[in-house]
Amino acid sequence: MKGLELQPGDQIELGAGSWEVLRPLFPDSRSHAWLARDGDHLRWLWTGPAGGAWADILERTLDRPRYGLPRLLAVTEEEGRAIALLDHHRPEAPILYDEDWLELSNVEVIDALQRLVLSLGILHEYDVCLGGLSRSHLLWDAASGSFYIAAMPKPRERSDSSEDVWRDIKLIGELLYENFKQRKYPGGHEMAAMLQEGKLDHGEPWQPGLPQLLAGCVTPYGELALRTTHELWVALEHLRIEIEQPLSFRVGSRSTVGSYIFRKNNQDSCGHVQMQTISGSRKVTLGFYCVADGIGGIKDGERASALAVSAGCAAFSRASHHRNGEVLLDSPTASARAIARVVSQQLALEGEFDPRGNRGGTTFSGLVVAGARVGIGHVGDSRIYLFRDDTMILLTRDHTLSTILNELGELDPDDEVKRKASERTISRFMTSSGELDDGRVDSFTLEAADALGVDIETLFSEGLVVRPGDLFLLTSDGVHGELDPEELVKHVRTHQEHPDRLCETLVNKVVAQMGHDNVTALSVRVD
Amino acid sequence: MFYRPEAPVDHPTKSSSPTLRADVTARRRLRQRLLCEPLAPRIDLDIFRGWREARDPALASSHLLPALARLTLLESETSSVEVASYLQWTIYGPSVYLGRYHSSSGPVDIFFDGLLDHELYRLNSPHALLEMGERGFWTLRALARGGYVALDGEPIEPGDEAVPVGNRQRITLGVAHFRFDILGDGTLTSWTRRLEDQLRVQEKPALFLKRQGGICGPRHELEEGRAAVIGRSFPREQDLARPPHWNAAETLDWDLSGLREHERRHIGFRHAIVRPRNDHDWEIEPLSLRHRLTVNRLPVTEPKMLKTGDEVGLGSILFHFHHPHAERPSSRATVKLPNPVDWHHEQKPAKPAKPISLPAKRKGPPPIPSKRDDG
Repeated sequence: MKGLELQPGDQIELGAGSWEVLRPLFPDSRSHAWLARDGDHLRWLWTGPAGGAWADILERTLDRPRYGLPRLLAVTEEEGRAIALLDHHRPEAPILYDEDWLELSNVEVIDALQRLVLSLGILHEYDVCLGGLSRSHLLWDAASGSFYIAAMPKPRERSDSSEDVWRDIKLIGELLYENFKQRKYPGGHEMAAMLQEGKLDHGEPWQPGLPQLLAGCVTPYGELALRTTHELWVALEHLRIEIEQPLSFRVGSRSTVGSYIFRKNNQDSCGHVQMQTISGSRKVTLGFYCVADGIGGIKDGERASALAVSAGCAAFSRASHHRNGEVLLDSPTASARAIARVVSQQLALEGEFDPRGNRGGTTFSGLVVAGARVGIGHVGDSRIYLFRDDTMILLTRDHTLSTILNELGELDPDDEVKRKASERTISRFMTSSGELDDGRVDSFTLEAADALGVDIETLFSEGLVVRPGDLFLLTSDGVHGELDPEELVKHVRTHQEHPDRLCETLVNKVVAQMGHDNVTALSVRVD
Repeated sequence: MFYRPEAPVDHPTKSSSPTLRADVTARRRLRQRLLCEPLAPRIDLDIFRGWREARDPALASSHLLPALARLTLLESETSSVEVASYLQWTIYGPSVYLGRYHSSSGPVDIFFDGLLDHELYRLNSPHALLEMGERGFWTLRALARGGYVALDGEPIEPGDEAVPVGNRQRITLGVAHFRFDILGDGTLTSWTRRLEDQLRVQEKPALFLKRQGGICGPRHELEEGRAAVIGRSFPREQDLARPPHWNAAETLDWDLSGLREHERRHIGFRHAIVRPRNDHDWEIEPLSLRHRLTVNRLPVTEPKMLKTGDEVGLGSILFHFHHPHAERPSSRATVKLPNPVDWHHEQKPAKPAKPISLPAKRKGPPPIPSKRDDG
């Protein structure tokens, strides 16, 4: 009768291959897991007790690829032991070293542990438990930040006893403690005592949410014990919310008639609505920011842009009150476009209510902020920029004749008169004489997607994830049509932390150089 | 670093490689398709709007007449590769105007929604006419000065005789290239018979929605002695302040809000009223000053009597008026189009700037400045 140990160099005939044992997967020989090779193929070999029970459990739970778990290819019994052949997409993943674990951020740790809990949950769903999860069962994939369960020496049928769950999850508490506290786990008894007595930990205050979670993992008994992997997953999620650094959004805006003698009124408008809630420790910002540049007669242009801004803010507010802004959080880009869409409908309505008087139109560029994501909806030649990593990225496309002629290859770059004229001729805008259809409300451009390194599909379906330090700038053509791109960037770089100062500076610069249009800038800084 | 809207790859230059250009265009089309997917199924626009639109699903019902032909967008002038399955336009009638909608010249039968901006920009209103003759042969005519039309690369000038078009020939409209496919083996007689069969079972006077040249399922039956207001959903007084004269008219008899996105945009909220003129006859009158009403493609500003077979246009869409007790079972009025828009007179830039004078660089289509209302 052979023991459960395999030796490097052993040749195991299993499945359709002949497997040479290369090395144990873990320093701890009790893991009973080895790396083996047949030609170019690398697999894992596990050994376990003969008699059918061990092999049955593997056959039941690992029969197909499951999250974080290997797939069983073959199992055989010989001379008092069972040997299993397993397939995994990262057969050579290393073990986890403490120093690597300590270097991870708290969020990365929560991500990794939540994934591991999902894998454990799958086994528990099949009424199987590991009989105690230890570090010598887990390999670590730094690239994806995931653990893989790479050994199952003592799996068994799960009973109703809370101890079975506890044995598998107590390691999670230990790993969590070590990363958050940057020191060794003191052992279950000491931890339980510390938590019970409500002591500071080595004189330090606790991270809110962490003691509750440790108390759930430290003992299988009592009201605080976590009884399912699902409860543990939820507890980790709560901890994540506690440590999340909520984003804050600061806004500045300025709009003037400008200094051009033929511009007697300001037909530009801009506006924003911002709402911040903290519930269940989660801080969420919902915001809408827009600029509109009126077109038409003196009165009508002003009226159209003012109406667009107020209608846009109202539409956003309605959505933010509906189921706590669910639609904005789910799809910020579609929401921003929907706002532009219903604003254009309201303009069309006003046109019909007052068919002789109200003949204006307007551009409209709006930014929706929902949690950590933004979406944009855009019509006309106002612009939305993002300043990120010292780079200015234009997120929108000008709907002007010049864009179309460029596309047709008919704009001579040397013919400045024609170029200027076509830049000032708008090819798409909102008007009081008709509503825009969905297809004509624009959003992120392909060039922006490339510059951001995000798929255009993702930008449209999920929006753009913002980062602290991002600065959004919304301008009417009185700003970007008058200032050189280099000059614009220079001012943004200088005032990137002060959105109000930035808008002030941009507007003053244009006014000082006698620009030809109304001047409007609105900027949003993410911290 | 600074990203400009006009990235270098945007401009076709002699040095840019054709593959790169094709790749860029493919990505643009993907983006355009994403933009053209209606927001409504994913997002409830009423939440943003603050009032409810009645979107009647019946307005999406399919054609009652067989498809006669199809135009399929091709990748380029020389390629025979189809761009995408959604960039196909099926023709359901024997005489269809092609182009884009412009309020000053009325509806066209096939408007090419989904094309890219510069492709639409090169289309006139109307641009060309496709007609099926008695024996199922098709012909093509160019209609607008300055609108480029070609058949298999051979330009057709406005004023030229109608040119025969065969199955799978290539039609160029502006800068867009289409393959023309004849579907089935119908003739004008068989198509007319099918139309009359459909109309015969209609016992009351009715307006049938026409799409792509042929009547389709959606219709509105006129009730004896009762006027009908046609338009699309508008907010109640408590939802949005509105002038008093709107308050009298709370409801619409036919609400067209449920039309497709590109179809409804030129429909007025209270667009037109159809009312009995006497015991037998019906007349139509415009209610909206901002949106165009046409009968047989000519603008209507006063009450106009409708005859069976008349083609009524509301904004960019068309209806077929059918009267079951008419003396003649006319299936279709003869449509005489007003003169196509002469784009050269429409050069009104949107912002204070010098008027643009755009020299025609080549023999093909001269550029058409955008008219603001065409947004």
